[in-house]
Amino acid sequence: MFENNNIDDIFKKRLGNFQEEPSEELWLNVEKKLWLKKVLRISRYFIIGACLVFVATLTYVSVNNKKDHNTPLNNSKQEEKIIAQNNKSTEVIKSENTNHTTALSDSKSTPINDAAKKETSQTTVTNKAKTSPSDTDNQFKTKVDYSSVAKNNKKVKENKKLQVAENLKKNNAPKTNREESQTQGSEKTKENSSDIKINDKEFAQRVEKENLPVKTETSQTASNNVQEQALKNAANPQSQTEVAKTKVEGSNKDLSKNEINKSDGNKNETAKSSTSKAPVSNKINQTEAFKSAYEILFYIMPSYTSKTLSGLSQDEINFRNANEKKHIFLNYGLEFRYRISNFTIETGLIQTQSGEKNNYDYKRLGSVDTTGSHNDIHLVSYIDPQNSNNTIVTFDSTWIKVADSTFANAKLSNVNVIKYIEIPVKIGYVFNVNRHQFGINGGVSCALLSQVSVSLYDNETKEIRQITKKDNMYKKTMWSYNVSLSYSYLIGRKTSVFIQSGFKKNLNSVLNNSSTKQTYQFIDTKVGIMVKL
Amino acid sequence: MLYKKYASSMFGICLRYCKKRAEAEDVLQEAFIKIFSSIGSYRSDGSFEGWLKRIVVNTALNYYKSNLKRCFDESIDEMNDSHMPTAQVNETDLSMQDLMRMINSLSDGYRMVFNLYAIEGYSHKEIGEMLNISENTSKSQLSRARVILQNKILEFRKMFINN
Repeated sequence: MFENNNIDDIFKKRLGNFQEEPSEELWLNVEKKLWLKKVLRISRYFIIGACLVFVATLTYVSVNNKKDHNTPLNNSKQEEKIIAQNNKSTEVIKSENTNHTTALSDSKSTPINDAAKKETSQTTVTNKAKTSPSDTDNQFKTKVDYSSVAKNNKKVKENKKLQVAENLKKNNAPKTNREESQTQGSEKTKENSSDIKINDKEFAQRVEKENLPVKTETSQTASNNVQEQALKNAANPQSQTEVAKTKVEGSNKDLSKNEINKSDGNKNETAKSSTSKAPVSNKINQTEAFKSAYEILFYIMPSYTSKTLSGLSQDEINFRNANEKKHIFLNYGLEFRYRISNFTIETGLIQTQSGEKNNYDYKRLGSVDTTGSHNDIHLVSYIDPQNSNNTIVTFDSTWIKVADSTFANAKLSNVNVIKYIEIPVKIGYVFNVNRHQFGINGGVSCALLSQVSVSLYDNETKEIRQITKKDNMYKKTMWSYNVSLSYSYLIGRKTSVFIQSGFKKNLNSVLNNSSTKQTYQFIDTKVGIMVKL
Repeated sequence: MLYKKYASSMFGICLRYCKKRAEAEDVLQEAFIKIFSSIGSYRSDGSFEGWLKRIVVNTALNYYKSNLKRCFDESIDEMNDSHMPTAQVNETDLSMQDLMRMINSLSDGYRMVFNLYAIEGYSHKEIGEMLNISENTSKSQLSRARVILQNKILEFRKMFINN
């Protein structure tokens, strides 16, 4: 009755131009979606831009911090500042030392400095007289008396200069042994002081260079102390020689003894502090290595991947779970980490894979035979209203073509792979125990689809369908959240090995425009190297 | 307005490819979003309506392809009697609604292939490429679709005569 072409024609003629009005809400939905798409497009650029600005800022800040830490003594202005600050503390010692010398040198007064010495001895006396039992008062008074002592020193220096000038004027005037020794001594001390200055500067620079960039207060004070001590020695070499003198000469004088003890105590303290600072700085070196502002992490990441299905009947879920198994993928990536105190911010590029292992046992469509046909005859009866409602019985024959399909058993075993380039943004917290570092972090990541190689069994066609990226079956952008725990061990000054175990889960379905929701979750372990920049 | 002018004809195409009206609306919505997003890429080589039609058909096919649920759906009972014709006409005067019901009662694979071949006029080779299936599969799907539709028309006729 119906030829194949007839059926096609009937449907083509009738349905070719079939029209029907969609619901009114549809246009509103289209408008809404178009607006959302526009916003998302803009926000995507904004997010990428913000990430770039963020990374650039971190780089700039970390590079600048590095420069600041590396060049404190190279910068002359900074050096002057440090010297100016440290002078306060050094000059307190100086004033004390000067007092000893003036006190001690009372017995062997030189005619040149008599006036000045009288004044200094007066100040010494006032110092001693004013010395109260309380240390605070003592410190206060010493600081107050410092100005007068400094003035006296100035006067002594001026007098010395005058004397030298007079001597130069006299030219050939014979010098006494004492004067010679004095001038030689002063020259020597000057030379020594300059040598010490240079040596101490070098030492301070070496300390500064060898130490890692210092951030914490303790380490800063430690390095400051080292610098301070070096600068003290550089600024006040005379005090050392004078104190040494007092050690030899002042053994009979109680007052000077006390002073010597005091100054020795000071020296010992500073010596102790300088000697005790060496191991401290070593300790700092060990822990400071973790405190680099900017780090880069290279790693490989075995990832155990499983999926969750929804929007399907339980039978379908069971069928798929029975034929599609969980699988381990090997991923790799690099991340940049910026550390502020104990907190970290991380981002990077990771190549991640999701998918499953298929083990389908199915019937494959072998061949189709469309040559078969038969004549289908039906007995048809109907009432003829025009002829007194008589029943008419006729035969209706139809020539029917039959298509026979042949199926064959087939098996499929392959791994479905969906590859992404993932950009995570994570924040974390880390803490150090000597060379060990422990941490926790978490955040979100945006993954961009890069490759699809998937085979799925189609129950209708009884065939395996090969799906690629072109099929547009999988979403191009995936969002996930992740949390992880990390441990790292410092193996070098700038290098540490780390292991990080984490959990990640997709926030949206991998499928595009589908009522079926398919999400993946991952348990992964990153193993790699972390290098400080 | 573009939407007002073409919405009804495009919705007709969607209804042919989709089983349910809600699904057809989803497809039409997706298709119009694509149309408005990529309207700049339209080159005036062919007719504008043809371009729209191609987008709608491709969207419907993608919807079908991506819907895994359908891949694992049990075969629909092709002799489902829930869509019996109501019009009292002979077989040559079947209404559009009746024909549409018959097409919609086909399973996804049959319906797609029949629509593409019989109504849109694509060849088996083109259909194979569009649906990622072999030419033979396309032929067998079409053949079975025709048999089913033929039976449905006969059923319709029988029912009409009996009534």
